[in-house]
Amino acid sequence: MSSAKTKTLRDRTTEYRLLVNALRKRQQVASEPPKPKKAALSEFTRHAGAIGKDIQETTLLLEQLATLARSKTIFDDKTPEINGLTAQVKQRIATINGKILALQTLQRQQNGGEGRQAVEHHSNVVVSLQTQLASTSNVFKDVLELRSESLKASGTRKEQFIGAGSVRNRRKLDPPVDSPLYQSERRQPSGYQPQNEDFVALSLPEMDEQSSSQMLLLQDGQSSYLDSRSDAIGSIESTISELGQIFQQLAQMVSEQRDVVQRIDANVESIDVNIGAAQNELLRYYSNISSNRWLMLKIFAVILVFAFLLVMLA
Amino acid sequence: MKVFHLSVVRTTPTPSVPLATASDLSSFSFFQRGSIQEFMNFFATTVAERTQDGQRQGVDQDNYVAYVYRQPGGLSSVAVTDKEYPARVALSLVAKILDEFTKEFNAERIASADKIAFPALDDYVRKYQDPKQADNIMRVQQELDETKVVLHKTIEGILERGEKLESLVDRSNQLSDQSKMFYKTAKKTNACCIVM
Repeated sequence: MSSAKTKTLRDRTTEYRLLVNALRKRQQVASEPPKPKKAALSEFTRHAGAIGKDIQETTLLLEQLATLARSKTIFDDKTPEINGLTAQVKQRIATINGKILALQTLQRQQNGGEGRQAVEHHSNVVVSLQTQLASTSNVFKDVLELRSESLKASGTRKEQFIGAGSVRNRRKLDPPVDSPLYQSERRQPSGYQPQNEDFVALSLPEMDEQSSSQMLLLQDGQSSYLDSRSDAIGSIESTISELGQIFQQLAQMVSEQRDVVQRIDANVESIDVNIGAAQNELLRYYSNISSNRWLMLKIFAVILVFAFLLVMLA
Repeated sequence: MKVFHLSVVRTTPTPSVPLATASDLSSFSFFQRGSIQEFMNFFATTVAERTQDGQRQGVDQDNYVAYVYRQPGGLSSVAVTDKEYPARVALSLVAKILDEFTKEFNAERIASADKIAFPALDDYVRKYQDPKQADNIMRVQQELDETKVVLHKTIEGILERGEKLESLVDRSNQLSDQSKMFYKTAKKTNACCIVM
């Protein structure tokens, strides 16, 4: 058991498939009527096993690609191999995705005649395969980014070694140009539709072939035409991001003031309540006083009667 | 910042021929215009000849600058401007002229004719007198700057609003306390012993 655990995932899958086949044979020997269901069941597991194996092969290829991309060579450029590998991996991911979708439809077709546990198991298997594919395509994306970064680094290093004459022939590997490309790559939806991934990072090696438009220095600026264009566009981009920040600050300020407004609202409501209650009290007081007159008259009358009595007696 | 002269020059058969020209010499006095026009034509054709295929260049002369773009086929377009005109705008203008020219007229006509009427050149001369409006990038930048100014004013307005809201809060607080005192006093007068 421990040796099986230390080996890679691949071994377990073949074990699993052998087990499934053995079980299937046993089932076939045991009973006939559930045979079509079991056949369909084993077809599902077969497909799932095939997809799992494909995913692992793709992971291996990705590892190779990653080691190639990480190699920091300046002169020994393995660009064609890297491109070939990348195309291969992309194709594999696309086919695996297609197979997973087919598996999903197959699973849904068979949902009628099976027990609840089998249905859950199938859906679990499909989901786990999809997550594996998603993680694989994430790794692929990381490798592509690594590749473009190393290309950039090798470009600058080439410049350093080859010398100042290359300033005029500077190719457009500028980061400000790449930043929208980078951002658009990072925001891609993961996994389920890897065919739509933005493989713009691969176009960087193609730009090395542009040799025709060599620019000469102009009298006023110290940069060539293309560089000045990229500078202008870069400044536009920074302006737009500044605007974005300003908008965010605006929203923040307004939301801070919302609290203040709510406090004012609460205060004014309490004022309303207080004044209403006070008015109530005053009304009662007034009614009290006005009704009190009668009582006061009676008291006065009683006192007057007493006074009269006193005067009369005295 | 002015554009003086725009022209499309055919350079491949060696006497280079300006196929289409347009000029705006309104800033010069009437009597100088003839000689200056001659000079512009000569300047444009010479510069176009001295550029190589697929190259863009800007050449200074007195207080004029000629921006030229020469296509690999030998067809080139030249713009003569003053020194303050932004180089990038001039070069993009020049490329744009060439694109339109090649789109409108086919290769044989270009190779055969000596002078082709290209009315769009006059429009371009007129339009590009103000590079800020004509060039897309500069226009976008200008609009963004205006928007930024507007947003700054908005933020100042919001700060003022904040101050006013603060004062409002304080006053409503005071009012609330006062009304509470009012209520308490009224209640006190009501609850006490019978008054005469």
